[in-house]
Amino acid sequence: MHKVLQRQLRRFFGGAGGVAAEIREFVDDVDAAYEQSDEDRRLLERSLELTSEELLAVNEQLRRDIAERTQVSLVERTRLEEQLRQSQKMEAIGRLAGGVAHDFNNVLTAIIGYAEIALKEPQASELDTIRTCLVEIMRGADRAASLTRQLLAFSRRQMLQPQFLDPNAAVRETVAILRRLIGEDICLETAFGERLGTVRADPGQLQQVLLNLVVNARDAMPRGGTLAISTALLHLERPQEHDLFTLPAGSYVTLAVADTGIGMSPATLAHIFEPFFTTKEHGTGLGLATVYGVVKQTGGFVRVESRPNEGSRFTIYLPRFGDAPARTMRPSGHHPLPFQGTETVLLVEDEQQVRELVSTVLGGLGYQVIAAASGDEAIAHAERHAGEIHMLISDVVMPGMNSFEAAEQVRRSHPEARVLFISGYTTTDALHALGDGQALLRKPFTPEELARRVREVLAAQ
Amino acid sequence: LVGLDGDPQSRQLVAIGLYGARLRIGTGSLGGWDPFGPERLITRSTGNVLYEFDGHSALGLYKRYLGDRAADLPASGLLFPLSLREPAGAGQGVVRSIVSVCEDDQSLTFGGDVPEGSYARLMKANFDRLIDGAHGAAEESSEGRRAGEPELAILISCVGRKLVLRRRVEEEVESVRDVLGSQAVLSGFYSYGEIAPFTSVDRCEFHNQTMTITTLSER
Repeated sequence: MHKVLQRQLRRFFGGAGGVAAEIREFVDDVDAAYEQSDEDRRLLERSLELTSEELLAVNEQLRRDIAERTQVSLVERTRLEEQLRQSQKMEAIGRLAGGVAHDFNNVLTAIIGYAEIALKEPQASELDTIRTCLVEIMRGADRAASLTRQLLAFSRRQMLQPQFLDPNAAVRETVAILRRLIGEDICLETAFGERLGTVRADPGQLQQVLLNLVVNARDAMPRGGTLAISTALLHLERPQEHDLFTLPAGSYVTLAVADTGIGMSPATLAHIFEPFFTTKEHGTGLGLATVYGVVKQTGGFVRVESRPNEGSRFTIYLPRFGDAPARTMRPSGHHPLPFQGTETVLLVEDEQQVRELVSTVLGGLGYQVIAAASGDEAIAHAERHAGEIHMLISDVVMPGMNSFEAAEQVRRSHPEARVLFISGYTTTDALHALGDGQALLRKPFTPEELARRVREVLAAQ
Repeated sequence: LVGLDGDPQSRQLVAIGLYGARLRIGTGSLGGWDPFGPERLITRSTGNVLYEFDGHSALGLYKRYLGDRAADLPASGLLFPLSLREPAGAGQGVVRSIVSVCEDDQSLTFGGDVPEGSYARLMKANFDRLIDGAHGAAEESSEGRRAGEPELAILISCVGRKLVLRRRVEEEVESVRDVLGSQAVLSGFYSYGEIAPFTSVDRCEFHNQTMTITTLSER
């Protein structure tokens, strides 16, 4: 009999024996119900115990699975991060290699050009000419060596040394390289402020900043446009509030890179200086982060103004260091050529080496050179260029458009332009077509001859 | 075996149609079983023969849960019917109860199909829950009735319920009587499966382990 029922019967009837015969069947039924209820309970308890065990085991398995997956995803994440770092390094190296290749091309063109000129010099006694060429060759070699040093510094992650720099000279030096980078459908304009004093910056890093900004500007103008680089002096009596920073009172040299490209949305603007943020298909997102880092290290500020379809303008504010002795990025030890100038020259020359040579020589003298490989290209440049074109230097014999016709069309949009023809031919019909008043410089010419002739033509009334 | 105007034979079905403007019919079908424990994926089965849950022997699982009562298989297997859910299905699943076991291939045969890919949970019940189920089925069958009290009720109860209710199995019928009233003539039998809708809006399904009631009356 069930224990509970036993106790109850004892309490009420003094025990099972005290139960009247007529209710004995009823007591048996109650007993069976108690037993069944107990059995039900035991089965349920056992079921729940087993279920708990099962669920515990499943839980444990899940925990192991999650831990395993977490471990796998951590390993995978580390691998992906490593891959990303590697690809960023590769892109940075690629960009550097690209930049270096351009620089080396310029340097080599100059070296080859001058070496050729020196070799072609018929009179061995013309030592001055040969010497000038050799000086230029040395200069080219120096720049190549400087590039190599920068490359090494980059690969070893050395901190480069800040120096007192003439900002205009530093920018000019870089602009000569940048022209090659930006493509022919983009018009490069420069405007240099006067009495800028000096800034204290690492020349290589400053060049990198300019390079990054110009590359971005170029990429923002897939259908061409105008890229303007300018320097200016800014003196603040009191702090100037900007969106993201306050410019303390003081003197600054500003370096601005502006384009007429696709511009940026406010959402993009909010992130552009973040490392690895990029809107380019193959970008690393390091370009502007580098710009920001370098400028901050130099004690400066960066300001961005941009709106969709209205272009972008990056302004860098570098503290001005009075008129302390400045050095440019140009290697010292060589005498600069005389006959310097700041005018804008449109150069048309189909022969690449000669075009490079003339560009380098005139660029080195301070001229703003717009180089074109054909008459058509020159006309296009002339039509896009908003500022003055003081001079057109054109090869006489070129494939495609006749050089005289090209000159005439350039002068239609820029009547102020003086014209200097250059030619390697001594007797051609084309040369005969030159009028008496037309200026001509015969190839081969030395850089000094070129410089002198350019100044003469510009000075002529 | 079923017969109609002749000898009873296997694989025959007899359908009886009752109709008339005054006829009122109600149905109700409820079990009173509750699923418990983890949901198990049926990884191996053929028709109504089940081999594996989650890659493990289904018979092994039943033996573990039954403990001492495993010796009484297949009858004791009725203590743990299965609640089945199709892979995409939500809502109320069908209930399947064991009709036989095979030690040779470690299989369990159920009173209805147990398709591979379905999810199953063991179900449990106790005396009270099953009586409540019968009570609920009776209420359901009388709700469908428009007017009048049922004059006849056909009660089909699963044999699996009898195993749990044992000596007190009459209480199942008594709880139905409490709902339908003393005027109703109660008739019926124990079955190996019941075909009915769960509620008046569901379609007919093949169930196990339920009390299924059909009420009839004339107005």
